Amino acid sequence: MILQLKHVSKTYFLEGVEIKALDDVSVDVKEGDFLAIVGPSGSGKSTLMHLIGLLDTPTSGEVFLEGKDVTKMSETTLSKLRNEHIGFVFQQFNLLPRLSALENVELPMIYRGMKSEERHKKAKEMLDMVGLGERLNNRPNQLSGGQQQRVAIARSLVLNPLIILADEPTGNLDTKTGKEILEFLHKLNKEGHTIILVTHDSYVAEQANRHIHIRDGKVVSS
Amino acid sequence: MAIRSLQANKVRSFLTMLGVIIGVMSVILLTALGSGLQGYIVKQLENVGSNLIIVYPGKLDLKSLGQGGMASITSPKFVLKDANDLETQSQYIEAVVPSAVAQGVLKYQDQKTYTELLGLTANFSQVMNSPLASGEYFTESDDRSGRKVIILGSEIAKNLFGTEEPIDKKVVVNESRFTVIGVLKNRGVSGGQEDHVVIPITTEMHLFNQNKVFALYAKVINSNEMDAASADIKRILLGRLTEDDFTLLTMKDLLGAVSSILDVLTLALGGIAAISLLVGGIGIMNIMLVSVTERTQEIGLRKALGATPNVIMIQFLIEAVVLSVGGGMIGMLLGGGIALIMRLFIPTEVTLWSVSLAFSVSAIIGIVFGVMPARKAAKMNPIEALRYE
Repeated sequence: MILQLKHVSKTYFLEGVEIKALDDVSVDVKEGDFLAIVGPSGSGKSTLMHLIGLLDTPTSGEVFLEGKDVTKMSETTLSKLRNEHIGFVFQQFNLLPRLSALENVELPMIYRGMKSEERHKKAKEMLDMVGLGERLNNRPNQLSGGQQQRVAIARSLVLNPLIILADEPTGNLDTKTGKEILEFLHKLNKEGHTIILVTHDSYVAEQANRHIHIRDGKVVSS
Repeated sequence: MAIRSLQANKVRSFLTMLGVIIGVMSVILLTALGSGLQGYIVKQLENVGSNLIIVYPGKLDLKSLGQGGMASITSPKFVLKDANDLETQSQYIEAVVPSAVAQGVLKYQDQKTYTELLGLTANFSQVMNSPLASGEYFTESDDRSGRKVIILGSEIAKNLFGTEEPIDKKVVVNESRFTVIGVLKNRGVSGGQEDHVVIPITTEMHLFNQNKVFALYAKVINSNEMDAASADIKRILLGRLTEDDFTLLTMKDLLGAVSSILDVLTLALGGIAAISLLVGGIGIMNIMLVSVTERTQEIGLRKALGATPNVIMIQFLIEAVVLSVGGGMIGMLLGGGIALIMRLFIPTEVTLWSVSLAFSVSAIIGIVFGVMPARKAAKMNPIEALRYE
C-alpha cells in the first residue's frame, strides 16, 4: 500500500456557510494501480485529488504515504514529499511559458537540488521518451496541446515518483490527441507506474483498472 | 530564474529601477556638490593665509556660530599703537595690519555704488595676501600723510568703470576726491575681496572722523607657532584692555566653523536625496506585489512541483534585490559621471562614503521592500494558486 486515506473529511466555510466537500472517504492505492476517480463537477473529486497530491490536509481523518502519517506535516515537508513522490499532470498543462520544454522538465529537479548537467541529461531522456526529443528548446506556445501535455507528463515522470496524479489530462485536448495521451498513460502503467486519473468523463475513466465514483463528497462505488 | 522573469518584463523592470536610479544618483550628486563646495571654500579660506590671526573687538564664540549664537560685539577699543606694539613686542609676529571699516558711496561720473571702505596700512599686501590685478599699492608715506588714494575691489572696478581703465581716474568718496591707484585681483569667495575698496587707514580715520581701529590682522612668522603667537597677542593686549574687549580668530577656527555649517548642508542635501531613494524602494515593493499576483499560477505550480515556501520567498527576494542593486549601480555610474562633468563648471567631489552608502542603502531597500511581496508569494496556498486564472 503506497497511499491510504482513512476516513478523511474536508470542510470549507464559504461566507459563513459550512460546505462538506468530502465526507468520510477512505481510499487505498496499491503500487501499480491505474485508478480513476470519477464524478461530476462539484462532487468533491478535486478536493480528493488535492489530498492525494499532498497539496492540502484533511479537516479530519488521516493520510498515509508509504505507511507514514503525513496529515500534520508542515508545508515545507509536504513540498519535499510532493517533489519526491508525486508527479502532477494538469488539465491546463501548467507549463511555464517563458521556459523551454527542456527547462520545464528540469523544474522538479531544480527543487530537488540536482546539478545542471544531470538535470539536462535526465530531462532530455524524458522528452525523448515522450517523443519530443526534437523539440527540446521550444517554448510551450510553439508546441501543440498534445505536445504540451507530453512535456507535462515528462515533467511528472522525471523524478520517478510513486504516483502520477493526472487531473483531467485530456480535458483541453481534441479526441484524437486525448486518446494518444491516454494510451501513453496506459503504457506507463504497464511499465509499472502507479497512475491516478481524476475525470468526469466516463470514456476516459474506462481506461483505468479501478474506479472510485464520488458524488456529494461521498464514495458511491469503488 | 529570478533574472529571467525580470528580463521578460524589460520595460517594467527598467521603470521600477528608475526610482532607485534617480535616488542613488541624486544622493551621490548632491553630496558631491556639498563636499565639493566645502573643499572649495576651505581652499579659498586657506588662500587668505593659514598663519593669520585676526583680532576682533568684543567677545565672540565661533563654536556657537554654527548654532546661530554670536555673542556681543562691543565698540572697538583698539588704537593704531596696538598694531605697532604687537609688531615690536612679539618675536612670533612678522607684521600687523590695523583695519578701520566704514560704509560709503563711491561715485565715478554718473556711476554710483555703495561699498565697504577698508582702511589699512601699507603692509596689508604682505599680511593679507591680496594681489593686485593692475596698478600698485599705496606706500607708508601715502598712509602717514593721509593721501586720498584708493584701491578698488574687482567687482567695484567693473561696476564703476566697465571696460574703461580705472587707474589714475578720480572717484568721489563721500564728497572727497580719490585717485585710483590699483585694482585687486578677483579671488573668488575669499572674504569679499570683490566688493570693497581699500584706502590708507589714516585717510579713512580722518575722513570718517574715527579714532579707534576696528580689527587687527597679525601675520605669524611660522605657522607652527600659532598658539605661542596667540598667547603673546593676548598678553600684550591685556596690558591695556580686558578679556572682553577682544577675540582672537585663526584661520583654523574659521575653517572649523565653516566646515561644520557645510557638513550640515551636505547632510541635508543627502537627506533630501535619501527620500527619493525611499520612494524608489516603495516603487519596487509595488511592482513586486503586482508581479506576485500576476504569477499566482506559476507560484502554485512551483509549489506543486516541490518548491518550499522558503525557495519561493528567496526567488522573489532576489528579484527585488536585483532590481534595487541594478538600479543602484546604474545610479552610481550616472551620478558619478554627471558629477565629473559638472566639475568642469562648479566644484564637485564624489566621496567614497556617499557612494558606498547609496549602494548599500539601495541593496537594503531591495531586501526591506522585497520581503513583503516575497512573503505573500511564499504563503500562497498551492491549490488556490493553481486554480487562479
